[in-house]
Amino acid sequence: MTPRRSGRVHPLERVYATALLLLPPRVRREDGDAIRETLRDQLADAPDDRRTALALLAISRFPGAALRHWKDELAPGSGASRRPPHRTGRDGMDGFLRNLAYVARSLRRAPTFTLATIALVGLGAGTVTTVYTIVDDVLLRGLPYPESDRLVYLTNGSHNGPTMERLDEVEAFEFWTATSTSSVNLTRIDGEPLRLRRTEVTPDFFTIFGARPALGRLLIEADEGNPGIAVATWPAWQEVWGGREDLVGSTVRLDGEPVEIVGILSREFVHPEMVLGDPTHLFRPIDWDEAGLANPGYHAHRIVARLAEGASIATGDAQMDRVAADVAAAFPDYYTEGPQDWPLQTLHERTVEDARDGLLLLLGAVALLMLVACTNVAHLFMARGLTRGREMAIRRAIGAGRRHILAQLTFEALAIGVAGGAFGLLLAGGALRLFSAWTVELPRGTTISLDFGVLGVSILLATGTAVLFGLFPALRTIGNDPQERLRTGGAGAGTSRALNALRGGLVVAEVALSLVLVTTAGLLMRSFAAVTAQDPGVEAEGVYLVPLNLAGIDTPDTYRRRMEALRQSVREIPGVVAATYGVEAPFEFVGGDACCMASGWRPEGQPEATPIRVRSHADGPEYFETFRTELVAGRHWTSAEAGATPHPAIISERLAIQAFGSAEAAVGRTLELRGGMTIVGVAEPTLHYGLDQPHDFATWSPIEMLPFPIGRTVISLRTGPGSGPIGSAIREAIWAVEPDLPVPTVSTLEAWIDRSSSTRRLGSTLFGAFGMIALALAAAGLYGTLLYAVGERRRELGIRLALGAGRGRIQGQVVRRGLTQAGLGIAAGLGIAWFVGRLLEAWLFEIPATDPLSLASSAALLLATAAVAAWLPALRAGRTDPLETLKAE
Amino acid sequence: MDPADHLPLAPRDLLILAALAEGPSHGYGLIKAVEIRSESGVLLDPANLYRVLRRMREMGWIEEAEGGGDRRRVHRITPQGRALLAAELGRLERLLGQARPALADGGR
Repeated sequence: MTPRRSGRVHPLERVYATALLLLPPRVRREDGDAIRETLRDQLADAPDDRRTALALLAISRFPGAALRHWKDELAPGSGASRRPPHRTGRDGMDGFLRNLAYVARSLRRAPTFTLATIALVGLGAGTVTTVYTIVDDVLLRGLPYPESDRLVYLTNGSHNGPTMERLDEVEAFEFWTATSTSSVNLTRIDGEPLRLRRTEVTPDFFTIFGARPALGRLLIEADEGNPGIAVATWPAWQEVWGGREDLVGSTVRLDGEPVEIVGILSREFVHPEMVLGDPTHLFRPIDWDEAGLANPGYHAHRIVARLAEGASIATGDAQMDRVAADVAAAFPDYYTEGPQDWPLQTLHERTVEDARDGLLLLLGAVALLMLVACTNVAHLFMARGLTRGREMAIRRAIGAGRRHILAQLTFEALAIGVAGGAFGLLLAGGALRLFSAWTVELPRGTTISLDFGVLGVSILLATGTAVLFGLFPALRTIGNDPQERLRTGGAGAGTSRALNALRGGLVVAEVALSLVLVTTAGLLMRSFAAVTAQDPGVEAEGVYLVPLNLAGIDTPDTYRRRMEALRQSVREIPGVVAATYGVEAPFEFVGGDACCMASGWRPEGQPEATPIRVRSHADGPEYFETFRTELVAGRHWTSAEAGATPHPAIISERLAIQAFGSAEAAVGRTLELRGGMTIVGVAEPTLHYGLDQPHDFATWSPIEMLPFPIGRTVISLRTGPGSGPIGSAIREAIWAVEPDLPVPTVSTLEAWIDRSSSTRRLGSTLFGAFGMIALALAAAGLYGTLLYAVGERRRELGIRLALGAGRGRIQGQVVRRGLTQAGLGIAAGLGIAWFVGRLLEAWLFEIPATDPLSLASSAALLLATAAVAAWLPALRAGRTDPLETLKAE
Repeated sequence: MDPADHLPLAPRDLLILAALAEGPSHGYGLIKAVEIRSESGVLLDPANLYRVLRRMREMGWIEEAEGGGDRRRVHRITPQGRALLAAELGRLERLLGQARPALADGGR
């Protein structure tokens, strides 16, 4: 019987395969593969709905099997020479087996302890593994392209025509490619038009990104300038054309034009998101626009290059600088401020830069959490060890060897470690699956798979902690005379000065670590609050945005004409009070390196000054009415002025102050930018690219200044108070003018603004959650320690109460002891938090890393928690019945 | 080796030996065979199975054989294992013979 093999590996088979690492090395070497194969056969042969159950059964039985394998391995003279099964002995096999059974029994008798420690180990190991796996995958692993360490990206946005003409002169580049992505509308016989993303590339794109065709061919040099062909990606082939066999060689209609699909990329091709953004569906040969190539203002393409062997970023930079200088010399009117700077950046760096700090921060946070969890495991094991003094003494008295007792305690810790590890593995597996389903925020999220190394390390750490702290009390007591221990009831006064000091130390450490997490959470939350409290310079309520993509725009005039017709149409919807359009809209693009027309500007007569990056917006009528951006000086341009040259402009207050000293001084002056602008007004500060971005250096001009044809656009409209949902009315208004135009989304400006700070919200939520968990763990640790201490001193407390000591006084003592430990922890934690805050600085917004309010409030929070955690054991101490305790003697 | 030293056999060991007595098998084949024979009463998992197999190999009851077409490892029973199986089955039959009359007479 040969079970059929399925190509995919069941995820739990991986789990099982990892667990095999726990087998004795000899067994793993000799039988490991066979064991795994057997499970795979078993799963392959099982019906779909039984597979997971079968795998779970195998996994649940594995710890027992592994222990038995170890037992076999360690047994003196294993194998055929084994003693017959019924002989009893104090050592060896049967001792081992009995030990095992004993461990199982004693753990089952203490379900709270067992579950709590397993959960702690699992939580700690699971979170650390999840986060480390993500961080490792995103930050450390190389990009999935050939010679990926030699791939570089030209920063500072898109590149102009004349520069691209000279890129071949850069000897440091082995290959380079220019890409530009835009949307096209696919005409379908059976349904509405579909909006696809199409990227135009030079043929070396495929060499640089190691693409291979699955069917047909890729684009070659001879295809350049031929817009009538395209290569589809594998996902597009599957999703858009349903994997149709005959797609290659067939003709589809894009924006109404026939395009032949000549090939399909292989499934393995990884979309270079860091360059192209969202997945693209089609690649077509670049179609150089001769006029564009001659125009320094033609910015449409992103450039990626592969450095030649031996070439460095520095040589590449130096050669690019020469090109930039040549171009600037050739177009002195355009480059009035000197050559543009385009530093190279490795593609890897570009891929991870946005996510790196956040991920490292997160990794730090879970590492702290893991430490807190370990501390609690230590607590629990010590507490258990201490309360079992009597039990151990009995076992010693009836002849159990020291070695036995230690072995048993070790086994207990190991069993917890293995079970906790399995739990952690499940957690991490689940978390990563969730994460993969939700990869919007991070680059390369889709390729993540579990990092077993880290899982192993974190389980070892937790188990090691458990063994250490489980054995410690035993080692302390084991040398004592067992009879003495029995007489004193197992918890004599001498047990434990050192142990109590150690437990106190653990509490202090826990409180300190929790304080760090809570403070960090506080800082991030305050930052998030500060960000959301920013005035964006637009009034978001009631504003709707409709991103569109017009096909067949060949001149700026066609764009204006068609957009104006659309604008008029939506403007007439009842309830709409203003409508405008532009190439992009506020908060559509988020971050410092975002979109659109930007140029360097230096104050007049200061050629040495660092240029200021000014963003220019060209907008249709009613822009300022739609977004309610107020003017602080000057006026709006009139419609008569709109087409004039130099263009009229409203500039941002920040730019006005930088360039002319004040808003008032700017009005009527000329700004030497984009061929000169006449300043008619100055706008209040705006945050076009995100609430946490600095105020813009920006100019707004009439749409008439738009220098190039472009298909992408956003219609923005403001509704009056009390208007209801308007989405379908907007669509109808658009279709009344352009019946075939896809309208993929109608968003609100509020949603876009919200989205612009989603990473911060995520960060503060995660840290808030971690902080709360740490706080709860610290409280549990403190509570447990004090409760134990009270229990230990029952006799003493009873006597004191009998002698007339006040209950309040005794309670006060317990609380004081708890607060002293918490206080020490808080002091230590403040020191660490101070240091950690400095690492956080890049992440904070208008909140200093040493923000006294955050530090003080987290200290207060911890102190209050500690007071509650200490109060409960104190109540118990106060309730001690003197008679009861003394009778018990 | 006197087979009697190792009797009685655990039901699981008995079923594995019985399955191998019919012909060599790989790991999953054994799991399946044992499951069918025991009418799902005995469910083996791979790690425990290979521990039993290892022990039986060391005792000399079974040995590894060249696999069929693929690379999978296959076990087969040794003459010694066959003798052990026969001894155990004989013992069980004797036991049954002694116990059954009780039920045949008074059980109805």
